[in-house]
This record gives sequence, structure tokens and C-alpha cells, in this order.
Amino acid sequence: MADRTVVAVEHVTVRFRMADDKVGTLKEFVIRLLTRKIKYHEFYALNDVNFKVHKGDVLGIIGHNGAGKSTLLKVISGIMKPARGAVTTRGNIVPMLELGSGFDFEMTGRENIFLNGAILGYSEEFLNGKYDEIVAFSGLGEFIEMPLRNYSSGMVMRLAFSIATVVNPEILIVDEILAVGDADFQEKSQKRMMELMSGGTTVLFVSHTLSQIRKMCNKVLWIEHGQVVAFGKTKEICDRYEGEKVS
Amino acid sequence: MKTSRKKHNYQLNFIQGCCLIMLVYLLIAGIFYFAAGEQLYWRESGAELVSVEGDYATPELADGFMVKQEFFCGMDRLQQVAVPVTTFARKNSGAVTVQIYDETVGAELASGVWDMQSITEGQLLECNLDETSVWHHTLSIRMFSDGETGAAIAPWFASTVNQEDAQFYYNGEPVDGTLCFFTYGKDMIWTGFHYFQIAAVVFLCLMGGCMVLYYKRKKKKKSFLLNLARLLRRYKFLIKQLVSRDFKIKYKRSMLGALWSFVNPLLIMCVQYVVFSTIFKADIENYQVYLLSGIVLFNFFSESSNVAMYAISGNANLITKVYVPKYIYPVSKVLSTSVNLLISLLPLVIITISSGVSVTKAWLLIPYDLFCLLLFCIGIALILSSALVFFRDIQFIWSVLLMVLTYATPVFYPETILPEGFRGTLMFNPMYHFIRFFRTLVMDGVSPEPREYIQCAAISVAVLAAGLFVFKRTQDKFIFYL
Repeated sequence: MADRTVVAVEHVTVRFRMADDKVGTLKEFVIRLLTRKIKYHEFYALNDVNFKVHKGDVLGIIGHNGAGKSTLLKVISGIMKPARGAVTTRGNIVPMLELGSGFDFEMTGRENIFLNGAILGYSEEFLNGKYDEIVAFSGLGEFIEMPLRNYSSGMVMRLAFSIATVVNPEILIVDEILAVGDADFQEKSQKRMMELMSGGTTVLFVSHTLSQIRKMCNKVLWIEHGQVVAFGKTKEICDRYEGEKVS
Repeated sequence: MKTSRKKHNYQLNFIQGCCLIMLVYLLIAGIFYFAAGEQLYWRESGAELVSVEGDYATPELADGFMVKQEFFCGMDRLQQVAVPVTTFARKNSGAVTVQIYDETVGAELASGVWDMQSITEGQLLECNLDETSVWHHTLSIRMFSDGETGAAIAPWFASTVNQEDAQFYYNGEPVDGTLCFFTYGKDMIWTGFHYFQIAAVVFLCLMGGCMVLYYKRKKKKKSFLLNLARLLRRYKFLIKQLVSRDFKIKYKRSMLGALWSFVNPLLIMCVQYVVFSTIFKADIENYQVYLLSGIVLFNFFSESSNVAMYAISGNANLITKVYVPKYIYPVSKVLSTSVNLLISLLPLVIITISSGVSVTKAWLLIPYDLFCLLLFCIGIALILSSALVFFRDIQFIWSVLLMVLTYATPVFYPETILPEGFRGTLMFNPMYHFIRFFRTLVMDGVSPEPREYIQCAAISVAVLAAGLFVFKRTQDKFIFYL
């Protein structure tokens, strides 16, 4: 029996040790150290979170602001180490980057495809092979040879989306950025997402738009204050979430 | 079926890699032996005698009068003995003989005869010796002439100084005082005579290391080196992209573009040359080469540390979004600065050759120095970039420290102008070692002595290790401070 688990999150706890206000300078630090005025209070961004995602799942993560959704994604993609617990993932993780991060605005679209692709962990041969596909999908045409500083923000986003989704990643991480570009491109990108999902990609998806979650996800994780409130079928949990909001 | 074949392929690659490493090692060991040459065997002796300052001349060396100075030789090979003499400001005639005699063995080592008529006031009478071993022998200098009284020269001596292991004689009678003389020679170093043994031992260690790695791979055990190789293979492309990005961006909107890497050190050199040449020129041969080599290396250090310091905090938006081993950011910054270094070596080569310094085989050793410097800079970059995340003050502190280091390193001045007490601190200045090593290769055209190889390597490895340690300890906390 093949284990279809792609992401396993076990007892994950992330603790921020917050100095009452962050010590930003050496002088401050030394003074506080000497006067023993560094006080920390602990803050649990995630507290004993457990769940499993299987291959091909599209998991929506919901919760109010500051519930720990983004922190959870950071832990899964390996950017943040949990204080306790462990995350095991199988396959390569591709995060969909926010507008502009990972791009260099002095360089042309072409150069940025290679730079950004390298950051996302694609190989050189892969990028060479897929280059035309990326350009075609982004619909940038001859703008691809222009420096990015001349692009509109929609164009930058389209390029970012095209690079991130050209690969069929095992795990795709999306943090609230599905509304990309104009209506045409939005439709195109939605279609591409659907394609990816049906192609076996596991998607972890943070959003505040419940309608989007209902449409795309088959499972939902609801967290508040760093703790799992509910984990299960989309409809069931979305209904509960909405019910709580109303009451 | 498919996977097993793939695995087999990888295995083969590993063995090929090991073979390649060993071949490259053999090649490097060979080139090194060729390029380092004599300097592996001999170094300028530390036991050279710069004898006392003379205050009197001895009685003139007229016929029948002989002075003899015995001394103890701490050098392996004595190459030259020089004795300053006075003419008493008069015309002399006849011939003076200087003999170097080995008292321990009882044999004459060398002698020279000078026509006293042509000797000028204060001239050094130099006796060159054959290369025989005189280590810990008692030697003597004997001087006599066939000149007439009133027409003979005399050597200088210090009438009140009596040194240990040395005795001064007039006609065989011991007297107080010490003759004024200089000895030059060289010492044997064991490295040269055991070079092939050392090379063989290192080769065996390499082979052993490869075998251990092979075993660990087979047993799927963790190994730092294997991990490193895997990461390098995986992120090679990213490093390449980041380096080329930095390099392209640096001169992106300037008209001369990358030519600036070429022109910039030349311009700095011109300015400093104009400012300092009148002050220091007399002390240094080929002042332009001296200056430019210092500028190029020091600029690399200051630029790479200044740029790489921001490698983590400046890439905050990436680090908080994508997982990439964070080492890559500072390392790629240093690497992209090193591209500039390579370009700015060109004007250095041009200036060096055009000022009449000949290119020797020692130039083959330049990569060694640059490689050590590179590792050193990476170490510093790792420390600075991680420190800056926690304390933004580091950027201001570092600019001051860098200025101190600029003036504490003999870039544009000769090290001899430093006061005696301060010169010792040069030993603790890493940049001094790298720059001096470089200058020995380029300006003297010979390899530095083996000790300096070890010094450079030790500095760079120690700093790199410290950098890796600091970075490893702190990297998981970056995310909370970015």
C-alpha cells in the first residue's frame, strides 16, 4: 500500500520570543543586558498543529488575521524551523512569490526568468526548454527583452505566475495571490491552477475569499490563535466558519 | 529497473569525481613544485649577522699586520661576507687580502684580493662563498696586505664591544673589540627535501578520504562533504545566476560598463601615485606595481565585505518566502566581487610588465594567494551578514574598522616606515599577509618561503571556519529579525 501522504505536519509549535520591543542596536542590547532589562514574553504563533495532506489534495487554509496561516506555510516550505515538532514533505515545493520578490527590476524579463527560476530551484536545462512556454503564457511578447522597471505591475505579476506554474511541482504554495492581471489573464491563470491540481499537484492555499476556497479546495484547515479549530471537508468547515462569523 | 540504472550511473560519477580530484591534486602538486622551486629548499637566513657599528679603524693593515675576527655561524649556507674599510683619506697602494676561514674544519672557504689604490672610502669588501655547509661552525675573517706603512687601508671595528662566540685578534693575539662586518646566507628548509614524501602522504589522505566517503555513501550515512557536494550540484545554477545578476547590475546604467572594473583601480593608483610617490618612491622599487597590487587586493576585500554585509538583510523578501540555503547569498556576493578582482588584475599585469618587472614561473602561484583571500573574504562576509541581521550598527562599526585596516595595512607606504613597536602588529593583520605574499610573487618573482603559505592558509581557513560557525548558529533566527 502506497502512502499517499505528501505533507505531514506533526506537533508543530512555533514560538516567538518577543523582547518587549525589539532590540535593534548593539548599544541598546548591551545596556539592556547590563541592566537586565531584556524581558521576553512568549507568543505561540503555532501551537501543536497536526494534519496530513495527501497527494492531489487542494488544501485551503482559513482563519482570521494573525491566526498563523502564513507562519504555517513558512514552516512547511522550510523557511522557518519549528521550535517543536516536525514537518515531512515529499517532493519539491514551489512557492508562488508575491509581486516582485525575487525579481530584479534592472534586468530584462528574459534574465529574470532565469534568475527567478533558479531561485525556485529549477535546473538550467529545464528553463532553457520551457523558456518559450513561459513567455507565451505570460503574454508579454517583445516586452520580455525590456527591463522590468518599465513593466506595469500586472505584467510583473503575469510573469511571476508564469514562472511559478510552468513546472508541475509536487507541492505548490499560494499565499493569497490568485487575482493576477486583467480578466483574461485571471481566467487563464485559474485554468492553469485547475490543470495543475488535476495533474496531481498538491496545493496549499491561503485565502480570505471563501468563495474561492469553496470552488477550488477539497479540504480545509481552519486555524485560530495558532491552533487547529477544524480540519476536514470543504463545505462542512466553510459553513461552520461562516456561521461563526455571523453569530 | 529504471531507478537502479540511474543509481549505478551516479555511483560511477562519484568514483570518476574522486579520480578527477586526485588527478587534479597530482597536477597541482607538480606545478607547485616547479613554480616554488628554490624557495622550497632555502630561505633567507634569520641568523644573518649585521655586526656592530664601528667607531674606530684598526691600525692600518701594513705589511706584517693581520686582523682576524672569529665568529659563530648560525646559517646553513654562507653566501657572502662583507667588510667595510677606510682609506684614511689618502692614496694607498698594494693589495689587501680577505680570507674566510673555517676554524672548525681548518680549511679556507674563500678569499679575495683588492688593489688598495682603487678602494674608496667606506667601500665594502665583499667575499662570495661557495655553497658548503657551515652550520654551527666557527669561522674567521682574516685580513692582511702587502702595503707599506702609511699607504694601507684598515677595517672598522667597535673597540668596546665584545660579543659572545666571537673573538677579535691582532696578529693572533686576542684583543678587545669586534670587527665590523656583514654576513649573508640562507637556511635549509626541510619542506623541499621532503616534498615528495609530504605530497605522497597528502595523496594517501585524499585517497583514504575518498574511500571513507564512498563507504558513507553506500551506508547512507550523513557526511558534511557529501552534503556540500550535493548542495553545490543542486544550487550551482542559482549561484551562477546570482553572480551574473550582481555583475550585470553593478555597471548597468553606466556607459563604460564593466570597463570600470579595469579603469577604477588604475585611476585610484594614479591619484595615490601622484600624492605619495614623492614621499615613498625612494624606499620602494617599482612603486606603481607596489601600489597597484596593494590597491587591487585591498579593494577586493573592502568591496566584498561591504557588499556581502547586506546579503541577508537586503534579500529579506526572498528569504522569508523561498527556501534556499542562506549561505548562498553572502557567498554569491563575494564571488561576484571576485569577478571584478579578476578584471582588475589585467591593468596590474599591464603596469607590471610595462615597468620592467619580468614574468617568472612564480606567477603560477598567484591563484593560491587569491584563493586564500577568497576564502578569507567569504568567512568575513558570513560573519558580517549574519551580524547585521541582529545589529544594524555593524554597518557603521565596520566602516570605521575598515578605515583602520586601510591605514594599518602597507598599501601605499612601505612597511619600514612603521615604528618598530607597531610593526609587530602587522603579523595580526590578515590583509598584510595576503598582500605581502602577492608582492613577493609579482615583484620579486620568487615564491615566498613555505611558512608564509601556511600562514595564509591558516588565516583563511580559520576565518572561514569562524564564519561558517557563526552563520550556522544564527541562521535559523534570521527570519525573526528580518
